[in-house]
Amino acid sequence: MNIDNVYILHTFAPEIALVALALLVLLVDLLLPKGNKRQVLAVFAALGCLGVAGLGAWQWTNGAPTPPAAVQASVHVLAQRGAVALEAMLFHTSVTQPTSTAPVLTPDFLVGMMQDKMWPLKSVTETDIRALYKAANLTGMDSLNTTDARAALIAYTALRRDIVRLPAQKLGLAHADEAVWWLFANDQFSAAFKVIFALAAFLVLLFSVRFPVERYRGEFISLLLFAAFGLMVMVNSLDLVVLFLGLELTALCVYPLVAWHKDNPRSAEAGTKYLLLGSLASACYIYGVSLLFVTFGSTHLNTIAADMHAANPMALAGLLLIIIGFGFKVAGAPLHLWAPDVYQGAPYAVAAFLSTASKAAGFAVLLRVLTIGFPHFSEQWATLLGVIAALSVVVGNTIAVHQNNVKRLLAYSGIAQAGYLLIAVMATGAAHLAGHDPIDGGKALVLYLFLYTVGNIGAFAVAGIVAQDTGSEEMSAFAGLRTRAPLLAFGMLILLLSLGGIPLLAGFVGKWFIFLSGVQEGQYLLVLLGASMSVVSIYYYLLLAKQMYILPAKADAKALRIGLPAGIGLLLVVLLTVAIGAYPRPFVEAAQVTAQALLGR
Amino acid sequence: MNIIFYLAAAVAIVATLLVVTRLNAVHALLYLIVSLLAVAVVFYTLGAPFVAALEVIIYAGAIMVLFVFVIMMLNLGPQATETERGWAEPELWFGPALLCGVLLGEVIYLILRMPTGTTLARVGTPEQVGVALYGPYLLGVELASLLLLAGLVGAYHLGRRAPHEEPGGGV
Repeated sequence: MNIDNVYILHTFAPEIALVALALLVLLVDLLLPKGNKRQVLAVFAALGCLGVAGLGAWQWTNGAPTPPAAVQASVHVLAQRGAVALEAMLFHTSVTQPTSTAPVLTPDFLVGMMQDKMWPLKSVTETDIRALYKAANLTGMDSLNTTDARAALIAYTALRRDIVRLPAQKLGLAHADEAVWWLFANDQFSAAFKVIFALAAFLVLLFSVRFPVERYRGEFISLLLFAAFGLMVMVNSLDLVVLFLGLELTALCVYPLVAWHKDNPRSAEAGTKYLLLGSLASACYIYGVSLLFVTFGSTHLNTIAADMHAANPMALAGLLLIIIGFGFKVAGAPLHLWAPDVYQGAPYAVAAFLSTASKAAGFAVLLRVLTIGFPHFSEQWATLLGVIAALSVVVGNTIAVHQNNVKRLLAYSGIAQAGYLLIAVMATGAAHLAGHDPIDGGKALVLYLFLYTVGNIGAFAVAGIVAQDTGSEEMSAFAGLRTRAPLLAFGMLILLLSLGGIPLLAGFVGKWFIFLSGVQEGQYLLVLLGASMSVVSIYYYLLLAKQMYILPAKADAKALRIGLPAGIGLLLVVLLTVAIGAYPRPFVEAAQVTAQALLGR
Repeated sequence: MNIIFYLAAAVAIVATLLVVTRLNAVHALLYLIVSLLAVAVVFYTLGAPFVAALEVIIYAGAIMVLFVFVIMMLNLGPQATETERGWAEPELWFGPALLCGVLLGEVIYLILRMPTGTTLARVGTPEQVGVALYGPYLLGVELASLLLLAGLVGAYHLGRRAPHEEPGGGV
């Protein structure tokens, strides 16, 4: 095994584990006999997802660059600085094999190389090189030929200083494998979202055990895992085309998942609707990317950011189309129209995944693309997002009040939640404009996405359990749940109150930080709108609570069985919701570290 | 060269508009192929002959094959011959043929006009495409293969016939 493969295993451990799990599930499904043994498969896959989440958490805690990453980064610096393949390789060798006789890369050596005819890119000047060394605080050091840590120091200092960046593929590196790393961020921000997606897949699989999909269990599970993998690619990619691959990977998995009960016309209709509108959103996105490529000659976020000096109308049009694409993904008004219909037709497990993990990925990518690629357009995108946020909050909350169908209620509540989340994204842009630290908005976003993902999956699961028991998706199906399943009713009550933002529960903490980040940037109107609309949301969440706790159960209603896997999942969700609300400090700190990895300078 | 480009681009736009507005799926498919061929000519005039070839082989070629498959699978029975006879009507093939004729004229002109011994500006040669795909974009290629696998699993589920799906299983 050569050293590159070790790097790959190290950097993409969660993704590789997830894909391996998906393939294993497909294989085992072929070998298993028909029947309820497939439920074992779902539980096995869920546990596997927990392992993937563990790998993600391991990456998150090892956020500082490890030696292989250091080598990679230092090669990148040389690549970005316009070094020829020769230097990159020499440098690579000198770092990986400290005892080798490779020439030491002193400033004088590099300047000599530069004056040589072999230097292909004249844009890199002697001053640049001296500045690079100075930036790394290594003036007077005679050699870089020391340790990985020092190489990493140089690399990361240089990266932080934002000197001109060139895409590696422009340089035609002889050792082209290195350039692979160029496409992915591999930072703590993406690691945190890997954990969120794996947790979401874990919960959804646990809850799906009891849903009647046994005949297609294997495909169902593997598609869900592939979808989670696609989301991981999305948040990890630095290149807009690779991002598109992740987007399409997820979308291709979710279309059949939405239409899973294809004999049910409503499910088939939802699948078709999602396919058509999702393709439209993808087309918007990729058209935007092509406009950016025309302008900058690259689809890499760093290159776009480095080459953008003034507001260019073509780039602005591209950015607008990209925001439209993601606005659809996160179901922000006025791009929300698909959500209620699609959730209503999709199986509960899929609706839960779609409204949480998929949405979280949309926000994470939006934040990365906007803050890394388009800081120069902060004014424009912050304004646009502010408008979408205000619309989402108002539209979602006011329409949700009139819903009788629980799935549609949760869909509209999800649109409103997207509005709150957009306030946080918008606050980062406003902070950038005002020259403030944009971390608060990012921190609020990460924290809220985590608790919203966990809580909303729980709410969908309870709704699914009740609907399966009563055969009705109407709110009245919840009548008298207190007597039929006291624990389930209590859990749902906590989740609903958390979604509404009642203090001492997770939702309150999340909303607090989001509104705080908005207020800090002077967005008083938007925050006021969000806060008042969030009071409206408590009304319709309590409507459901009234059904559960005040109205009597139907005369023929029996006690409701939850089942062990779903019970464990629900317990976990409720405990997390209470824990974040009661003792938010560790979660807030983790969100802070995560946002710092993306937005810190 | 500019005229050639604008002509091909106009053909592409007209053909694509006709794709969207045709009510008959067969008509729309024919115009779609014309549109793809026009885009190939656009690529050629921009100095990317390899991309133009790929466009013809993958898009126009693959669409044609799909077209044939659809005919084979959907029109089983005696009325199929009758339907196919209808496809030979001039009103069906005249439009696409006219647009194709424009493109053909352009290609012939380009070939005749090109002085021997010179080459167009080379963008995206097979070598460059290969190096890019299996160098910097290696992981992207792997991702695309996973995308195909996931699409296959989904299509398998949607495409297979369920013998006794329980009704109302919308949960």
